[in-house]
Amino acid sequence: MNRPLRIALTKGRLEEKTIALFENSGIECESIHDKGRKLVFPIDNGKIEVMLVKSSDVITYVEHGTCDLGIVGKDSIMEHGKHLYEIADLGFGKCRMALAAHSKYNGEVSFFDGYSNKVIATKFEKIARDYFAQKQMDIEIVKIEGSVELAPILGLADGIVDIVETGTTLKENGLEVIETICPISARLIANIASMKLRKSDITDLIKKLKI
Amino acid sequence: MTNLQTKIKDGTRDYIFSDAKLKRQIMNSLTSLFEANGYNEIITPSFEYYDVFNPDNDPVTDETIYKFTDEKNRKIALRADCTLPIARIAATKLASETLPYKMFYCQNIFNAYSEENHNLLEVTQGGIEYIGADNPVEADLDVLKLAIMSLRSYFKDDFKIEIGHGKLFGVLVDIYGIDSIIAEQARKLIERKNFAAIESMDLPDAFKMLPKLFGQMNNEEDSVILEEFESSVNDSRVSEILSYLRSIYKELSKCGYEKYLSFDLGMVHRLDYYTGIIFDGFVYGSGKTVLSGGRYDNLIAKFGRNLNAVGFGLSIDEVFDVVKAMKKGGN
Repeated sequence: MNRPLRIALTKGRLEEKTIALFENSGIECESIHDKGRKLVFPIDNGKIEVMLVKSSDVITYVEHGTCDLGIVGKDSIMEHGKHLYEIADLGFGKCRMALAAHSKYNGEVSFFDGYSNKVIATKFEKIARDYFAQKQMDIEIVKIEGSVELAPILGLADGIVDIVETGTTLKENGLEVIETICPISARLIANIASMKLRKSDITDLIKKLKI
Repeated sequence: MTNLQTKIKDGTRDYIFSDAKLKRQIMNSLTSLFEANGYNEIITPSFEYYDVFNPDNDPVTDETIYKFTDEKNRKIALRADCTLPIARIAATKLASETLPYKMFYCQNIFNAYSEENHNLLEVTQGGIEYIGADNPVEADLDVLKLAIMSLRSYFKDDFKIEIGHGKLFGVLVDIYGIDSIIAEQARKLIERKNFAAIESMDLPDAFKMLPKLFGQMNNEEDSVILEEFESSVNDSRVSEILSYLRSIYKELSKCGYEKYLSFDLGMVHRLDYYTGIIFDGFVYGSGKTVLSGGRYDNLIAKFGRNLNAVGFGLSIDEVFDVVKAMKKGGN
């Protein structure tokens, strides 16, 4: 039963910061610096295994218990997470989830006025539905995988629900944030059974990372 | 001819030859164990009146019930849960039987919809109910022992039963006079062990400690935080709950079961259903809850008779998956 602690780590933006956090805490991460085409990386002298996967897959691997821990943005937890423990806010990867629309909506016309259904383009279908349900508004969702900013420009949607970092992309495309839905940052998540069965391994890691 | 003729629905399974054999073995060994320990079988209809599974009765969510109507246009439901029909029987047909009723079942339940796409829509559940005990403490112990024996028969020493209490959270809300909306927010965060978010809420320390209160009673570090929690709350109702859990732990340790046990006071799910101990079973290498149970003293009264009850259910299909993965030497 002493297999290494498995951590699913979101590829890309969160990857570097997580590895920096690990290395600053004295966890050896040699193998990740020389990735090649490998998918599994033993670190901490073989005591931990890291897998680099897409954010939504982090949730899948952790919920199935294939990985004990995961590092993933709050947005993915809100969109895909169901049965998992969200044990720490890592404090990096900060941005916000926001509703944005054409700048005219910040003038005399409020985005939330009127009775006709608004069309929202987003990758985050569940977050958008939950948000507008709270506002008692019926909406129609258009699922867009790439640059959602394009949808309102082309007239496909009234607004978008998306991650906003600096807001530059929005501004350059004539869009503005109407309302922030919630702040986002990287979180450490755990499989429910792993949290219980490997408590000491997990708490040791948390102590080491000082989170 | 549609191409559906040759397919089965997602969330359902054919068990063929060796798989069927393994599943049958798992069911048979479980039911023999229940029988050997003095439990008698109940088989209920695959479908009955919807009212039996009425969502007010919890543990069933309305949208997960397969519903249709009968020849008189009355609402009928596929068996959505095993405990509710047994509660119905205990409250009605067994009235002239001597208490307590020790019953087991091994039958399928049906979910019309599953939040997680990997979950099965038809699941075989095996479990027991100990109803109307003279001494509820003895019933709790009996049921917990059988839960341990069941998991041990499949997984040797590679599992844990984790025990919590269904009343603790409500008692804390009462002691500190927490507003019900805030209490529900806190409960959700505690359920998810979201330490950071619960820390940032304006709540008494006891609530912030709750998600961290899990581990081994015999582990010094874990038992120290338990004592700190107890003295910081300093209320007899909380102390009573804790001393009850400690006594359960002690009694089960006498049978050599200590190594299978852990506690989690942050188990705060389905609080309007469970009225006493709550427990979950985990298997190393599985990541899922294979067994869950607890005390539910208010349920049978909804069917017209006031009887205490405790029980657990085990997912045979989940056990099948883990046993099969172990055979392959996976994980």
